[in-house]
Amino acid sequence: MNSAEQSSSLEPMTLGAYLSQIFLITGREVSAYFDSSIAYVYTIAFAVLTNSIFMNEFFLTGTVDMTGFFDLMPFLLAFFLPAITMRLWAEEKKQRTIEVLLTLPIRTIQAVVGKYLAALVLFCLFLLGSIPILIMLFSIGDPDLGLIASGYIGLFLFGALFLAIGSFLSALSSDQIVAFVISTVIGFALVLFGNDQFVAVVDGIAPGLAIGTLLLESISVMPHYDAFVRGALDLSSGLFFVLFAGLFLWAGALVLERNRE
Amino acid sequence: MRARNTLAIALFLALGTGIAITGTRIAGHYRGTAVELGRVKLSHVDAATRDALRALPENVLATYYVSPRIEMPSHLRRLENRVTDLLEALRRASDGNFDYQILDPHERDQSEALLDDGQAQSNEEANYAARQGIAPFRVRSVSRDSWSEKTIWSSLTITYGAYPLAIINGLLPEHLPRLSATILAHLEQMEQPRQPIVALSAPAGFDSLAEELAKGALVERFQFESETSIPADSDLLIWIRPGSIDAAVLRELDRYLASGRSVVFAGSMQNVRAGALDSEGQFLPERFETTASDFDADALLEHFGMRPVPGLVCDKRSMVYRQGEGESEVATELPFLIRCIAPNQRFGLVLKGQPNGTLMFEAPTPFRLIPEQLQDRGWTPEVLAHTSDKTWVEALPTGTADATLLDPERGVMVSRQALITLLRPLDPWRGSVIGMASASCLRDDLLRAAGYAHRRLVDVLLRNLTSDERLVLHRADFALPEPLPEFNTAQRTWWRAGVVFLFPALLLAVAIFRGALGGRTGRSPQAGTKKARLAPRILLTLALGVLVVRLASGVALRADWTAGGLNQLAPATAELAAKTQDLGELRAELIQSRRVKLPPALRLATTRLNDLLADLERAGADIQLTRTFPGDLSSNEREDLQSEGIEPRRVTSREEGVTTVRTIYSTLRLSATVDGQQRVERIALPDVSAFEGLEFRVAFALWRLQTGRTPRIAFASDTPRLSPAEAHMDYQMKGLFAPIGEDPYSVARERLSDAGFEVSHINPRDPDFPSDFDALVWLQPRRDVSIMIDAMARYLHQGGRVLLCVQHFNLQARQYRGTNFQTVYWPQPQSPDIDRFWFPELGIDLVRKVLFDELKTRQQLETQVNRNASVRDYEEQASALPFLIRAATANFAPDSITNGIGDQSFIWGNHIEWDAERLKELGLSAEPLITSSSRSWVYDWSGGYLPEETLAGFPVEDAEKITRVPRSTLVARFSGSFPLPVEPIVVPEEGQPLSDRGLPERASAPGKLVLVGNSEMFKNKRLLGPEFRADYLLVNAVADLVLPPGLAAVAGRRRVPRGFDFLAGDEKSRWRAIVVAVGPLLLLGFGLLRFLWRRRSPNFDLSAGGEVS
Repeated sequence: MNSAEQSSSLEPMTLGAYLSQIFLITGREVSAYFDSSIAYVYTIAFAVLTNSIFMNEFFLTGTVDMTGFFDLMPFLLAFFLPAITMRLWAEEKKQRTIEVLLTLPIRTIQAVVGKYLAALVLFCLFLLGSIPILIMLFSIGDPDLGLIASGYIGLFLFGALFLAIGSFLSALSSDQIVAFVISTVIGFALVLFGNDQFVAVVDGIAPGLAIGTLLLESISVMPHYDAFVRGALDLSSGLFFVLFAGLFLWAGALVLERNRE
Repeated sequence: MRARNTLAIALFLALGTGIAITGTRIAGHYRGTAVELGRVKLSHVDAATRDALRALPENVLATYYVSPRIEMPSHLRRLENRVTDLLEALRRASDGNFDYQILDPHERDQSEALLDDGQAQSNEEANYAARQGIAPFRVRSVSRDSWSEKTIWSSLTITYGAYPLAIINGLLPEHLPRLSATILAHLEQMEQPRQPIVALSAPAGFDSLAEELAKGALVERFQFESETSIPADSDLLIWIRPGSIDAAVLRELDRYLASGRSVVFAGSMQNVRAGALDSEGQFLPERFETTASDFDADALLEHFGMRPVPGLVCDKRSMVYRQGEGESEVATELPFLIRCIAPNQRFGLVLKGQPNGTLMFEAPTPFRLIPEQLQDRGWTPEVLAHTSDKTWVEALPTGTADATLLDPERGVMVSRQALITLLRPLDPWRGSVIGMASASCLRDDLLRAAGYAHRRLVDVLLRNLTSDERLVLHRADFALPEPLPEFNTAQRTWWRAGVVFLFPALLLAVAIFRGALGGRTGRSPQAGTKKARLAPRILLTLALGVLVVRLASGVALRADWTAGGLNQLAPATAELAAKTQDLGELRAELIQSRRVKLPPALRLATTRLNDLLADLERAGADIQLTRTFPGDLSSNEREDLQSEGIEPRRVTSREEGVTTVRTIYSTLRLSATVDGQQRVERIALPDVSAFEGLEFRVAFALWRLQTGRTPRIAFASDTPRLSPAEAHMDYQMKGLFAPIGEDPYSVARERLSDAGFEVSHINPRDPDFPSDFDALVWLQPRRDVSIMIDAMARYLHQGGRVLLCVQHFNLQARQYRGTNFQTVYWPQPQSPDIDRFWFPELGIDLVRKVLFDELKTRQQLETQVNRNASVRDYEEQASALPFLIRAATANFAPDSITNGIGDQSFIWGNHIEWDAERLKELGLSAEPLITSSSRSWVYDWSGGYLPEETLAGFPVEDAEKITRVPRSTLVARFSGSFPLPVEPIVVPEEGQPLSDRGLPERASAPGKLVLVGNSEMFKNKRLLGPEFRADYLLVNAVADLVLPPGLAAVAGRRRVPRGFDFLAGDEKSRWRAIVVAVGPLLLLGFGLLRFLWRRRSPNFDLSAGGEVS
């Protein structure tokens, strides 16, 4: 019985059991992050970089506002998140451990979601690194809590989507570098499609078609992310992140499933 | 063993790093070792320069006056090295003809400069530099996380034989690419001074101008519109009556200005023919006819950040046509022939020399300044000549009209209008632009007319725009970046596709050819096929996702987490929207050019309008949005639009490096029928900035539709003037007319008008209030204020609403040669005199002391540099001293006036005090709205420059004349029944009745006064500053005074960050350390604990990298 047959022939299980298997994988992955230097190096590098950039202008600007921080994040995350996701599957394939993993009595989607949640935990640690900024803002001024909270939700959803995309691309490739580069390019593209200047230039190529506007309104993450940063929790923006993150996870599982065959 | 290895590696690494750094530093001392491959070479000289230097008949000595590296701000610390590299390269290439020296004229600290006997040591270098006319200048700096300033030296002098010294002042890194060429150009100009060349593009009738110019320059005549290129060897373009403007013309102008050359253009949008013959052949001087000229003023002015003032601009100070003699003399006023007298000119404040006489402007098209656009395009505007304070604008008459009917009552009274504007470039190596609102003063029949100073005007322009310094810049053969050739869309697309995709495509092809995309990993050949089969499934699902999201965007399910609910309609707006059902049919018509014809930025902004209208509809507005594309309308229909003020506008934008000129419409028209009467409100949306505060503009328009009334604001502002002493010393003693000042608050007036208020200009010298106005805005009272204060007191007594913005001083920065150009600050009194009249009776005092605050900001301030007794330069220099007060949001009282205005910059502001007991006695109440920080202090100035200690920071204790005044009030609101003045402020002349100034007697009622201890922040160049928006405070205050509270609150719904109170440097450093280091340290601590915990595990294996087996 090959692994694909094994996956499809798994016994139906309760939701609790289903979730516990996912969390088991998540736990092992998170543990692996912290047993190696990955979690420490990534998180410290990210926190030092983002917080330093934020502090560079903060006292000169003189406002208790995190808009600059949230504006900066998409560009940094488009680089940092692929560095997390590139190893999710590509490394397993390279080291041939994927065959072991996929022969375990779990569904492929469970493995995909488990690993994805672990990456999400690491990403949350990234976000926790900015807590000192919050402490400072609330100590010295009266920032708009709702606006900041909404911005963090947007940031979380943004990261969740980019991790899903990265996970999918990692599943597609057996080489970490390839997975990283393609994820970064796609990430930057999704961010750039929301840039006013970019939209204006692309629209200018064929004014009748307004391709830039089409990309902005259909594909770019930025209008949806900006809605959160503005403090608006919009149904369509929430759906955008959740649906597409789910979709890329499903697609990743689909690709791995085919690999099993 | 392992630890020893690690230590050894660390030591080697540290040693290697040290060697590498030292080696690099040592190599840096060897000049000329760098290889420069670009066209611009900073430390090498080309063959032509080498030849020119070797051919010099006499020796040249360049002296570079520069502050020591440690005294420079961080961004200028490498400047000395770079300049020295270049000078060294010139020295080497010159075969001994060129030499240089570096001098440090920096003033020594007091401790260094004291001799043993306690006498101050003279600073020879500084004295020497000052004698040469070299002045230090202030640049921005950052000190302990706060804006600061540093006074530095960086100037170069060139001594060449017996020629006069050449000086290059204010040398900064951005000037270095041109420095070598500039030095050569200076030498060339000393050896062979040349006449400037003026390119004159003028129609027939301007021959005298060519002759006049030929006295000081060579004149090349050409036709700009037809030739589309300006003579390359010219130094100045004078363009009379420009015609149609297209992108090619604008590009050529930009290229010309970028080369350092200047442009003067003169023209009006209308031609006027004064006088006509009647049927009997008799001359009727009062008859006149206007016709539209070819001048595309919209496009040209918009390109430079200005707009034309449409209509027939008239002035009481105009030409009078006299017929007959003695008693039969008939004088006919022709108010469109504007006489701009010498006091209405400001040449002397900005340029060297002034016409010093009257200039004639025939039916001019004055300039309206758009600060955001001017700033965006890199210009600082200076109005050189303006109309008088009795100016009005009327609609252009069609056909022949009667000049005797032109009257301020028929038109709209306006403030002083700009007739000649100078645009100074922020980049000093770029050319300037001078715009003249009419070419009449340069015309043959008027240029040499007696009683006018037109010829002197030409002389002043020529001398300033083609001065030796400018000619040197033009002569400097500097390689400007090549402009892009003209590409069409297809070419641009091909180039883009080629640059982006060609190399990746080639590489992909190679990869496919080599089978590198799948075959090598040993996977089965079917693997790729399997993946490919998945693609349609995944893509289909993606498309489904996009569809779902787009469908969801139509569902207005949204939570708003902002504190002010900024992502949803304000309650007052929703209420107004719901009430529109009472209006009958409410129509919203967006009259806008088709999307593809709009500038890209405007396309995106328009979606905000759609969202807002959708929100209004959801809030209950029965609103029908229709779109009208004026391009689809007939010419008659477009004329109908024009008749109701909806006109196309010419706009320019730059996309992909290409200047595009467009003609666009963009206006929202709201209309409703109320009680059988059609009411219409129009909201102009010509650019992105018009969409700012869109909710308030629309809500206010709905309110006007419902109520049928537009609040009227009487707007009085006086012009800044010279003190009598300054006027005497600087002008009258030299036989010159002193300027009386331009209108510095025109943008503030327009901002209120754009917000939807009806604004009437009031001349504070001779006020005549409009009937039933809703509020008075008075910016900076100036002596004599008695008439206005009297009127204001009566108005407040009758229940009026007043916004009064006033300060006692303008702090002027000055540098004098006699003191080695050290900067001193003189508080120039503004004489508002509100401490003399009426206010003392109320117990309200705008304290006449210079106010300082350690919570400060930075600004570019004009500094008067007195190089010698007759030469006075005005330079914009950085300043970050405590008289530039930053009013932080943390120090605002919650109020509709302070809501959404962000931090404010109170430049040279004063604080307000009041006698609470006295106010209570009178039945008045006071509310402080904005205060300074806890570290503010005042200096009781009574003359002279500000002492050093006043600028040194928050005083530890009060001293003579220096008092600490923490949390002093900068803005306050006083409400209640204001009493009339105890003694009449204005006493009528004997036998004359007292004028009511349009304020009829009314019963006493509670009034409201908002007093702002600053007016500088509302001036044109400060109002819309990038960091602080004083217009927000202005609009909020006026809305608070005249609108219902709910609607007034909508004005303050803006996304602006909130500022925090003063933090000391130590505190800032502490926070910086916490924010950057705490997270990583905690994580490292966690990692260490985890490591230690795992180490105790029996299965721990350090050799396996800490893995637990």
